[in-house]
Amino acid sequence: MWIAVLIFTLFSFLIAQFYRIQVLEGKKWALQAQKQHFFTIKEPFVRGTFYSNPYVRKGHPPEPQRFVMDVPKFHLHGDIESIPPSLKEDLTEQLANHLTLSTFQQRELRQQLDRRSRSRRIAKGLDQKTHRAVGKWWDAYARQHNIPRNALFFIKDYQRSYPFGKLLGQVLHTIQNQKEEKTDQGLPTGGLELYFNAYLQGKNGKRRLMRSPRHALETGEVIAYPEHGADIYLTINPVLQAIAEEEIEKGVKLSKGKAGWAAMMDPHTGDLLAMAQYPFFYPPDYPSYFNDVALIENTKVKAITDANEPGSVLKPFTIALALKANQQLRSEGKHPLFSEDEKIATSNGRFPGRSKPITDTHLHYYLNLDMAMQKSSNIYMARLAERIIARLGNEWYRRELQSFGFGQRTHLELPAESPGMLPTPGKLHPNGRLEWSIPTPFSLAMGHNIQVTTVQLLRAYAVLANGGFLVQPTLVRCIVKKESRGAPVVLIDHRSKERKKSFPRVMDREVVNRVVRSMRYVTKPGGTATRGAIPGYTGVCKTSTPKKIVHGAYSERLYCPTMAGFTPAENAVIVIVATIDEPEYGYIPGIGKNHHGGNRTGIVFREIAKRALEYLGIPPDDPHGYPYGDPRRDPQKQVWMEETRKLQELYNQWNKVNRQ
Amino acid sequence: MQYVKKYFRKKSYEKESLSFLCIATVSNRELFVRLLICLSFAGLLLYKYIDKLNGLTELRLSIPLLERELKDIQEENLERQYAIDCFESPLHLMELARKPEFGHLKYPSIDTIILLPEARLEEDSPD
Repeated sequence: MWIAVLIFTLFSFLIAQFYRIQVLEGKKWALQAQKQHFFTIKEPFVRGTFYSNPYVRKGHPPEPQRFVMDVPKFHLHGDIESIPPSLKEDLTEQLANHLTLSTFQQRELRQQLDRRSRSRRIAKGLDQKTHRAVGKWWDAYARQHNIPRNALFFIKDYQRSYPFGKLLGQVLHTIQNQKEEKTDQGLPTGGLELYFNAYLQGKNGKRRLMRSPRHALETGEVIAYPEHGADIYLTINPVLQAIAEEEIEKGVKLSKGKAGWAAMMDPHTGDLLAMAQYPFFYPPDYPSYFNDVALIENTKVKAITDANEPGSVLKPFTIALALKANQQLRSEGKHPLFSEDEKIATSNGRFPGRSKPITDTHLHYYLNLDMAMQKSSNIYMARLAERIIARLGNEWYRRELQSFGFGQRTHLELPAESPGMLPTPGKLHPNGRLEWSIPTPFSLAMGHNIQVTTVQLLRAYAVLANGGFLVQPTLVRCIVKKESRGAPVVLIDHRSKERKKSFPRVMDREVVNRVVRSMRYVTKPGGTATRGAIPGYTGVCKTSTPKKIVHGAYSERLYCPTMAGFTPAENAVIVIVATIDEPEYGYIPGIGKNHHGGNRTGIVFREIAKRALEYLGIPPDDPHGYPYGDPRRDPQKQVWMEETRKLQELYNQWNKVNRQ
Repeated sequence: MQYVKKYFRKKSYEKESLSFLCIATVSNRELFVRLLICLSFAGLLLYKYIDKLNGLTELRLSIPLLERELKDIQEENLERQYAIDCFESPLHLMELARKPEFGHLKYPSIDTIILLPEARLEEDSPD
């Protein structure tokens, strides 16, 4: 009887304990068991990448290529507590051999193995080959010494790699080698990586591993899938970019300049097709650039961060404003400002408010609109500005200049964009002087007293190329994020027709056509940029040779020449702006003034345009327009030569030039 | 008379027990057969169940290996893709294009390219 009671009591106690462990404290013990048998490691996400734009070339299968690739790298971790202390010395030696460590590094590794940790990083950034070699050795070693196989394990990570090398370096930039400790997010160094960091970032997943000699490394169950970053499809075409980079490098080296940059845009969509800059920036070498004050300049995208005085490349807009003023005055029933064929005196450069007269590079007595554009006359442009101010006022002039986007950020997707500077009547400079004084409009007319970035200039020239629409420059075609199931979601889309339709018209087609017509003389005989003529193609461009401002005064030897234009003249496909910073001052026989915008920069413009058009498959629209010595050349049949000859004759007649 | 009655009762009892024994022997054999069938069927089911479990364990064990193999292939692909992209870098291709052996190659003009719709290509295909 007593035995039965005892057994019953014990059995009841057993059931009570069972209830306590399984039901009341079930979760706690299950968690502890999991901790003892399992451990979790991160399942890394892939940072979003940048794809190229192959769609600009018609008739070819579009295959977007990656500008950046995340190549897998491996970090070796150790579950130190699973390693028997007696084996640590031998393990250190063996590992040091496989990882080719120095004596100092080997000592550090030994210290690591003495720490109490269940997941300690022993080596980082191992490549695939080393990863396999260590993995193979470890399998045999662990079996031989009866150590759990996952006492050493690898954690996969990704490293930014650049299959095209330095191509587009400044625009892309990179992420730092050291990631953020807690979140494992890359730390961008600048450029698109910084601007789109929020889109490119992802979220790590989790993988559960069992601590058991039977279970292989890296084969645990994924308990939370990683969320990869969004991919960005750029508007940059790698071939056009390579062409621009090659030519700007050549131009800077030949002109012995300090730096140079060139940008190319689709005038109808605002898509930036190329943004080249020399000296180049190779993103993986970023520490060497950032640790050197002289090199840090090369990491900026100067086409957007540096605003310079544009000089004569602004003259087409002075003419455009004068023509627009004519239209407005006519519509109000008033006399127009000027006539395109009017003989305007340009020998006297004195203007109100200016202590020094405005001069031209050559003396011209009389010029009309086409001649003034061809010869790039400062005085003619200032006379037009004088008439605009007299009839319509300073505010009108400023407002209309602003309508081309000058003095405003373009909001191109890059950090540190400069808005440039367009003076405002009544506003003071930081030094207390008025931004807009009496002679300001005359300076503005020839591109002085204004600061413009290359991208602003590109956009303004796109207005002339597309018939009067102010496009929104962009570097992004679309941003696509893949959901966990793999379905793509478009986050930003710049490919729609609606976007193109949203561009405002800022100039009448009639005015645009007239300005473009006058610009066609620039590369023809008698023009300032004959070297900018594109063999076999028609083109429209303007050159400038602005002096740089050093310590508040114009330098006599430092220039920043620019060439801006588009091609073909009708139905333009590309707009190009090329700038060389501080080319060597001087005259070179056979070339002319080295620092002159029409020479070295003109050649850069011509070569980029020619190679780009050939790549795009645009058939030559001036089949006889080739330089001297080319068998295809025929000056009689060359496009726009008849008009040029007539203009030349009229110029000679007005300016009493007697050429035999 | 009483003895006679007892005698007959005993006889009838023996007869009954004999017939009962006969019946019991028959039903035991049936039961045995039934049991045998049941046990065999249960054994078969158990065997099938264990076999299935073995199959599943085998599959479960092969998953990590396959996963590892797949990962290796994916990483190799990525490395090869990187090598291909490095080769197809426009700077490298332009360098190649400058070599005399490729001097005859030119970019085709848009007006010389004829685009065939995909449907037409499929129709013309010999397959």
